[in-house]
Amino acid sequence: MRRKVARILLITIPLLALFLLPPGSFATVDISPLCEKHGIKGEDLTRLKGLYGEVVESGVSEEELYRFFDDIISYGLDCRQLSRVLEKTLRLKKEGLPYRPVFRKVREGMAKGVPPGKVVDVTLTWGKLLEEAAGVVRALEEKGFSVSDREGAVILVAGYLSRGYLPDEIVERVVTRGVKYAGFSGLEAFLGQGGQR
Amino acid sequence: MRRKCTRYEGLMERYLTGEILPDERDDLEKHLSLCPDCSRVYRDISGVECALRTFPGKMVDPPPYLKTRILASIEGERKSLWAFLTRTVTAFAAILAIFLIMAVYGYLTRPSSPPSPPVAGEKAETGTKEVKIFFYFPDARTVSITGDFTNWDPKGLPMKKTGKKGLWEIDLKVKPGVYSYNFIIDGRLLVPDPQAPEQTPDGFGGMNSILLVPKGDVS
Repeated sequence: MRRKVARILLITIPLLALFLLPPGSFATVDISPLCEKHGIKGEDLTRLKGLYGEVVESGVSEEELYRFFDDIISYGLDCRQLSRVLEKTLRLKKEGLPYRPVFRKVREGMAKGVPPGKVVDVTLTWGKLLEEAAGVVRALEEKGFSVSDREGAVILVAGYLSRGYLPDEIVERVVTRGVKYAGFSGLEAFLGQGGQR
Repeated sequence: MRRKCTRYEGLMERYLTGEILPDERDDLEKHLSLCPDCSRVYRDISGVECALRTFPGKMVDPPPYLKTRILASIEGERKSLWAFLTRTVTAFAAILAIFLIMAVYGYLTRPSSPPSPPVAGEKAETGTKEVKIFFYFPDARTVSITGDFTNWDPKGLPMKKTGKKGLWEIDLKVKPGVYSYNFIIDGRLLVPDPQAPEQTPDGFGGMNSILLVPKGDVS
């Protein structure tokens, strides 16, 4: 009896371990050497590896993520800043929102020579605007407008929000004046005219 | 005893136990009659043998359970050896199975290729549209364009001079979408496009131009 139990355990424990290991345990590219090269070790490294793995598991291409991660860590983002960017990416991806604008905003800050802290702050703000913009696009769809390119519409609306427009204001203007006369000329390219006026 | 006599030692033992062959027996007896050393050895051995046979002891029968115990002990040893081998093999098989599972999982989820840096001017993918952008800046020695479509490559894509003085142009191949961009003047200064229909704050204190590429006709 004991022998049978031992055999069952020998088979089930590895299988359980395979499925119960924390997310990211099987990220195939090890970022440890990259992190250690930039002085990130110990708990910070463990946390980053876990987050990195979660982002990969959420569906972001590992090749794309590694390239991005390599660039931003080389630019001088510290562990906390890297974690915040990865968390925002993960959140957007899980919500079904475009995550690439976040990557692009970081790269834009790098190209413009902005300090890492500021790059991350602006990127996270941009991420928040994208989430709000998704709500605006959803609201317009509920009002009967067709969306030909959701990602494009979300990015464009996020741009309007960054100019100081409020989400409800955008919806109201588009609904009452129509897409063409709402004052958001770019939206014409992405919103169908068949909505309510 | 001489060196050649050593072979007769074995014969002596067999002679005493009656297991010797007739030819060997004749040979040994002949040798014992001629060799005093071997004759003395034979006497000693046969004396001991005789003494053992006439020892006044009582023959004791082994207890009936002795054989059973001995056999049980041997069987037990056999079983424990078998159990040890089984356990060892099972453990190795389990470890091997773990490595195999992890290897298969790793193979299935491996990255397609090691990352390589993005290249400005990379060949456009399918489903792209051609967009021509002009920029007027007479004082510039070089003008490049960078933005979301180049992953904000700091060098950007170089623009070329048109026939008209101070006017620069570039043909882009991009997928439908919304792209922020800037011009790079003389390799340093980033400025927005004054001709762009949309502009938006970049969050870093500057402005970005917006390039709209709808899914319909070419812009």
